[in-house]
Amino acid sequence: MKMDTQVDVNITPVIDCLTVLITFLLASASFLTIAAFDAGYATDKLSQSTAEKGAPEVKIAFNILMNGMVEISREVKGKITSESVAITALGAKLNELRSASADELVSLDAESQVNYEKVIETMDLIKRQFPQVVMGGLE
Amino acid sequence: MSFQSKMKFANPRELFGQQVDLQITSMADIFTILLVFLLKSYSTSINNIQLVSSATLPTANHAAQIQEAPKVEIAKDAIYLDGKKITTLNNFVMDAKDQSLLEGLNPETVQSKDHKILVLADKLAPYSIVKQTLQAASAQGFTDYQLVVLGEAN
Repeated sequence: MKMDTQVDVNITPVIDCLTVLITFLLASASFLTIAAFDAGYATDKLSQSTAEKGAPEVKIAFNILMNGMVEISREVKGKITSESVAITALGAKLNELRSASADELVSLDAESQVNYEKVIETMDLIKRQFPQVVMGGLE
Repeated sequence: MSFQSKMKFANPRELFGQQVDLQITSMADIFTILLVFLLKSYSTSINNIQLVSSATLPTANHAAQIQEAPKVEIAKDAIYLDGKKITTLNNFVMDAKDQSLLEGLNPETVQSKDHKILVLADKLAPYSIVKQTLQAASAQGFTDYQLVVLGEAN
């Protein structure tokens, strides 16, 4: 005697699993986007005196050297002091500068053969402490 | 064999004419999640820039949103303005007597709001060519530049 049994495939739990997986993947995904660094200055945002001079005044200037060092020049009470730090130690130096200085605007320059990627990496590091960075040495 | 099963066997149409219910509840759940995700990641700023050359942009973590402005692209063999070549380079080096970069950035031909330009340079480019480009842009009055990078979405 043959027994006819009707078999239904229940795909609801499978779809539920897929739903959870999709939610997890979307939440954990990180996508690359196009972004930009503001590296110039809008002349209408400058004060009258700095606009006449053609560029904003900065009291802290960074210069990336070919030998992997960063030269930091600071103007303190009319005197300009200069020191060099390794790029690897720049993070700690920036913390020190930030706590010692109320300046918001700094400039960044580099030697001719320094890679543009290195300039961007350094600017990324500087922007953590000093959000306004302008490119220096363009006068 | 029961009477009902005999009847089903006798009438093949009824055997295969069972009512099939399509369950769309889970599918609706997936669509809702997708919709929420797309709304969350919606952005009104520019998020798609086409590079004319094969330049690779550098990456950064703390970059800001990009704004619409004329695009100056620095590649190994040329500098482009909004997709149009304005200067020829030889391995990122520009001829010293070449004035085409300055002429190409003429503010009368370049439509820019608030003297703003976007600079897209290859990550391997030496800073000298980027600096020359920024100097030429500054000389023509474009002082508000944005350096375009690849960043992670917030």
